[in-house]
Amino acid sequence: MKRLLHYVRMMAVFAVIWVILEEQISIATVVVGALIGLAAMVGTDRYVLRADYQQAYPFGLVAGIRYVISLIVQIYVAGVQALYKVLTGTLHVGIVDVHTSLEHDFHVALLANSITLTPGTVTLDRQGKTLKVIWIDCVTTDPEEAGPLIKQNFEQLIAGSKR
Amino acid sequence: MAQVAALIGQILIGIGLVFMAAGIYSVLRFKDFYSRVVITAKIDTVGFLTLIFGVMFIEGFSFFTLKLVLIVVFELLTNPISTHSIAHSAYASGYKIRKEVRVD
Repeated sequence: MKRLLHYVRMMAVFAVIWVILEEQISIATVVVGALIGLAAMVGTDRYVLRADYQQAYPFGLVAGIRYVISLIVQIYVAGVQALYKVLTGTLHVGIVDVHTSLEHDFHVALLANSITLTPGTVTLDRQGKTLKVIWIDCVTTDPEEAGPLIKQNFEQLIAGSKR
Repeated sequence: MAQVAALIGQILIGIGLVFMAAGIYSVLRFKDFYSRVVITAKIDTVGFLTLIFGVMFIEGFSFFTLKLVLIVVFELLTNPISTHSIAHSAYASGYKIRKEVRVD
């Protein structure tokens, strides 16, 4: 039942994307978009993932939108800081280890992507729950101190999106 | 009203170009590979996003704007992967951080 609900919700999303791409709202485009979305989901589940889509990518829709908005705000805050650092030339580049408490592989990948997207930090490597991060303004190399400065509030947002 | 939106859009595009210009300037200025990679990621995200938001303001609410929203989402998904793979390949082949030489 839950799986059916997930399919219906994702079909609505795919139908909206299809309507945007087709540039016209009519019953035909909505139906065709939903059917193509269903075919894509079933095909992915059976032949590519060989697992349940929802378990492989546990991410809620509403939480996802909230996460993207907060990510964009964070990008701008860090972007202005990085612009100042770059123009004054006070770079202090270093590599720090950052520990994460996220369990799921997909969530760790999302966290690494958010760290890379935030100006001033790029994820280099991952070993288990430890990420190696280049930091443009390396004030400390201690993982415990550097963690909150680099991760911001991404961890709570990603963990909160588990449904 | 539409003119005000267009003006805001043009200002946003200008800000985006400033971010990109600063990024290109610093890629040419700094010599260390890692600082260059970090700065290149900054150009892609901040400059590109500001530019796209400016175009959205000029266009107003239409299918074109919604397509731009899709472009932003795909950019947010794919851009960090390319940056990460470049940086990771450098790290895996054993690059060390070089001290920046101040050229004032």
